[in-house]
Amino acid sequence: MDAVDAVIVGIGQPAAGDDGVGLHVARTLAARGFEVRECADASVLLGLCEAGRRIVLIDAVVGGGPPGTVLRLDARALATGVTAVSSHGIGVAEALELARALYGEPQIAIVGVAIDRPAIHAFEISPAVAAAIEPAAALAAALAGA
Amino acid sequence: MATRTIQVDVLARVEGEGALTLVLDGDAVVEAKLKLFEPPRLFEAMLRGRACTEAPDITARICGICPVAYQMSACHAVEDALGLRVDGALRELRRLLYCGEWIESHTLHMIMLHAPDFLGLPDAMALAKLHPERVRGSLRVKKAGNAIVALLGGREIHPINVKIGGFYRVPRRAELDPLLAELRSALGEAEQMLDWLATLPCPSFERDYELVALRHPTEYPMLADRLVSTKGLDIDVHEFGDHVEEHQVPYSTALHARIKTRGAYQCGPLARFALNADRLTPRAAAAAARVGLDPSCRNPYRMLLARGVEVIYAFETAIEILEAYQPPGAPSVPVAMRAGTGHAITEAPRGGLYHRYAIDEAGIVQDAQITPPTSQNQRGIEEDLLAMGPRLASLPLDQATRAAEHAVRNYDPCISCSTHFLTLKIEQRP
Repeated sequence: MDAVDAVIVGIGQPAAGDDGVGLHVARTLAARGFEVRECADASVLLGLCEAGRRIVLIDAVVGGGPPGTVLRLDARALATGVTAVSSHGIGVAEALELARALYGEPQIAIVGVAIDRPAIHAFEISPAVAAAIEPAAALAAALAGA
Repeated sequence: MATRTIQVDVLARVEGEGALTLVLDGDAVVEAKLKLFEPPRLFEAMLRGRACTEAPDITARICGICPVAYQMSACHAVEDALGLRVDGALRELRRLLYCGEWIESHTLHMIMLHAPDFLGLPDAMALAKLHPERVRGSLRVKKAGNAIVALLGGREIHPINVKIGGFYRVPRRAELDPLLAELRSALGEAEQMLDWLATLPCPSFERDYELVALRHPTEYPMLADRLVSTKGLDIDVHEFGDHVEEHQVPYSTALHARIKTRGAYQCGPLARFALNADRLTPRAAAAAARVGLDPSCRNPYRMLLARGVEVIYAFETAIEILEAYQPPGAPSVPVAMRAGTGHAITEAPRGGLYHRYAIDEAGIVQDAQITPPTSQNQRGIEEDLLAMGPRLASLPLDQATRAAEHAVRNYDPCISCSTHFLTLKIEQRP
């Protein structure tokens, strides 16, 4: 994937069930040769924006439709709270707003995977959300320019 | 005369969860309660029955901001119980790791948590929009601190390379060169950051504090054996329990610590600076003089500048350690178990962190005591707020609330560490 300059960022908490779906999508793309970062919060975005990197972010979203729905989210709408609130919504929105103030408009595309709710101390994800990993990976890969 | 209550139900820009209630009667604050409601952590009980070699990694989990402090105090207390002394290059690497934590923790607090207060701004986001170049520079400074912890500790948060007796792995000389270049560049930015912070409007407020900090024969203290104060305390850290007592207050999950014969005291950057300014490195000493910070300073708001001076000290020290570094023959010294009780205090970013462990002949922890800096500073913070009564009473409620929160943040309270933190409630009595 040398021709792809975008970095894939999967955000999620692996011990919170479906909340970890962003990490699963990122791992799927890592196995296909993409440059990938896995993280539990959005602070990684600041360093990537400072470096002027193009980012494709995958995160779980609560309230985005039936579990497993794959969504393309608008970074600016996220910052103003118009879109569905992701389980990391404030973190991602705040990180992007801070990055925008410091380094200019972030080059970011966001893929959301709708979940019902995060679980507590569960490492498995539900069948409906698991079925969304491949379509979400395909959308992220396309947004990355592969 | 009516009483007013200032109530902050959840304090923002502090580490952890707490609230604040102030009761005003006329122009006096008659009651100040810093309520730390972060759930009890129970680490002292969790440590009982565990191998003493596990203490550094278990206690590091108390805090994601200052895990190095927990690892350092745990290591030194357990090593004290085992009759072990870690010196030379291994001790220098421990100081280097601590420099990384001071840089990242202090810079995070100064810029993202505390500076907005001095400018009347709601948060770091507003600061970033108003002074983007300052925030960008401070993030580079913080990143350099993170780089130290990542290189030496294995990762930036909750490092995994520290053990009783030293480290699991020590770096090769060649690994350090890129870090050295980053630190030299960030030192200049740290100086610019402090000079800018010194231009911010600073409230005038002073109290006759007893300031308490470690004292080392030659170094500005991170690791040392003696605890001294501005009111004559001069003890070996083994005597901490003879002079300092902890007691419970009904409204907080954090214990309050006080000097048995005199009461509340304060630890942290202002205390370290007041008691150890003569041990600063050249550029840190010059920076303190440049911004007008003097060891006689008793204005807690100036702690902002003491932190900035300590960041410069940490950079100079880290650079000095890296330049002189020759890898030790082994990454750790041999550890042999024996029964005993060990004590240690190391200087966490927020102040002295005391650990005591009693272990049996197999090295199993029988009893543990952890006294974090926020427990030690908690009563003093309340006393600051009591003393600020007339000023707070003269302000409209929203301004009084912001002023009280600003005063609490002087101490960079780490609530998750101390819970045993903030929402502000100001009550005005009828």
